[in-house]
Amino acid sequence: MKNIENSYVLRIKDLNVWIGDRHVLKNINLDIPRNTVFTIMGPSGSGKSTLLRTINRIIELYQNVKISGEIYLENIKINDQNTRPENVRRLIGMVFQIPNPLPHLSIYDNVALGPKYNKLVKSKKELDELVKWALERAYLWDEVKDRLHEPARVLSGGQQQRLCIARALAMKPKILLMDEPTSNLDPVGSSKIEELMIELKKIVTIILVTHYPFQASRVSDYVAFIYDGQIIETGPAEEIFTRPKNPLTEKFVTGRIG
Amino acid sequence: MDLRRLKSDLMITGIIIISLLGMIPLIHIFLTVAWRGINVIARDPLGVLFKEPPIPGSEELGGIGPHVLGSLILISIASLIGIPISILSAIYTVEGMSKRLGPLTSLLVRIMIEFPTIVIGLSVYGAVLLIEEFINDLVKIFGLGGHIYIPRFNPITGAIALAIVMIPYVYTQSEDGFKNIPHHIREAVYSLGFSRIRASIVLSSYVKSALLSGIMIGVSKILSETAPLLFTAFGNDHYVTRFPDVFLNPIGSMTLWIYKAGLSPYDNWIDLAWAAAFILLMIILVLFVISRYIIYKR
Ligand SMILES: Nc1ncnc2c1ncn2[C@@H]1O[C@H](COP(=O)(O)OP(=O)(O)OP(=O)(O)O)[C@@H](O)[C@H]1O
Ligand SMILES: [Mg+2]
Repeated sequence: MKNIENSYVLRIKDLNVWIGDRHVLKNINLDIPRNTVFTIMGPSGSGKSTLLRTINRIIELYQNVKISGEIYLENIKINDQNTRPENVRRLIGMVFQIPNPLPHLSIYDNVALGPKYNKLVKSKKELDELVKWALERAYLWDEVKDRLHEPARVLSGGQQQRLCIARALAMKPKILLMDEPTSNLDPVGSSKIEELMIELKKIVTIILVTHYPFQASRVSDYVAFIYDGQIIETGPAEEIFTRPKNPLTEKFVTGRIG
Repeated sequence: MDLRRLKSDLMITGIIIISLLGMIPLIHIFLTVAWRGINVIARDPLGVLFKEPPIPGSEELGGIGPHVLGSLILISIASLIGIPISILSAIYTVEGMSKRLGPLTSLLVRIMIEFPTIVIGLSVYGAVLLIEEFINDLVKIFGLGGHIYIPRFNPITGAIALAIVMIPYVYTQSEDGFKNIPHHIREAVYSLGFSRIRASIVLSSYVKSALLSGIMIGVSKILSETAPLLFTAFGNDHYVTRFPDVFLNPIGSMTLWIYKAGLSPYDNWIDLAWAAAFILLMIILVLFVISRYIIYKR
């Protein structure tokens, strides 16, 4: 029993989220195994982004949000008054749908900002090494190593998104939330990021959101299908894609809704 | 179809002519100030900038040194007080430190813009009197002898009045800057695990051009203010240089000088008023160009 508990890095129990009068997430229960790519897929408006934002508590930037239920990160409850949201966000990084590097800062500073201000490093040298490490993990180092001090806005969309991945990795998070990270990229940029995810799960657990079933099938170890704020079905990826139990799931993975 | 075209062309031509007519007085004022100001300054550039004004009736030109220095001191202290208050309040309202007080602050500051500036000067003067009275009441209650006097006319009261005039201008620009931060940028910053204070600092660097243009507008505004200084800085035609005295005595400003000398019967004083007007105009023009440039680059 103890072992099973520990193999899950994140556990979500009876989570409900209301934004204004809308009941956006309904009774979500999910257990996310460590060092996997766990994909949440579902049609537009089903609540995928809201779920990610609730996990790292960035949803608290919005007004009129009401949340019930429990979220545990390695058996520690992270969604109560006693835990500061910034501490949660340090451990749970996020990559967004629109690549959002800080355009006025340099490539280097975008990656260095988090570790520097959160005092994760002791010296400039350590910071340099961390920045290099993160950029390498994001497959970006070779493309930018000669122009680290140019502003981030000079990079292409795909490079910007990998910079955002590096920025999140530099915080050495336990979990990386990725909200449709490829939806604004061309096929080449997308496949780079898909490759990257498979490599990254060695060092971090990835929770991916997508509404492309094909992307989900390429990269996921586990999949949860969400529809209208409810988890319809969840399980190992191959099961969901080959033998879905719920007719709705089947319709989605075969591309008939979405 | 051609008739419509003709009508619209006529309208546009009309509008251009009317705007040009409207600008004539403005251009006239500008050229007059420049012409008269330059003529005065050309007679003795260093003297005008550094000398004290001539005593009434004397023939020499003298200068407006104490007023240039006074404006500099007043604007600097006012900026030191006003700019941090404005920007911090803007952060406070936008970055949501408080759901109720935030919008209230925003509303009150927007009302502040409408205050006549002479009222602000008078209020500072009144506040000094009230504080003095309160302190003296305390002195009496505790049975201590003597009477405490707080100087009313000095750079500090002047700068406080100017800071109050300045705050709404800097505040509204800063607030707009923070409000216009795209949501995805704000999320990027917060997702790095920053506290609200740290996140606000990072976001300030993102909106620094809005903050800078707010500062430029605020400074230009108080550069040209006379009314709030009448009951506070009061004006002084002489240099006060020794350390504590500077902060305890009345201080001059270029605007106060223009007000006083412009109404005087002395030709050399009036000449110096033109010089002061020209210097102010130039400073404001430069600030205006810088702030336009910042806004344009944004
Ligand atoms: N800030 C908000 N204010 C009001 N309603 C919101 C807000 N954010 C999300 N919602 C609502 O919550 C529901 C779920 O939105 P969410 O963005 O989580 O969906 P999604 O699955 O990520 O969709 P997409 O694939 O289009 O990104 C939607 O109906 C949306 O209208
Ligand atoms: Mg979404």
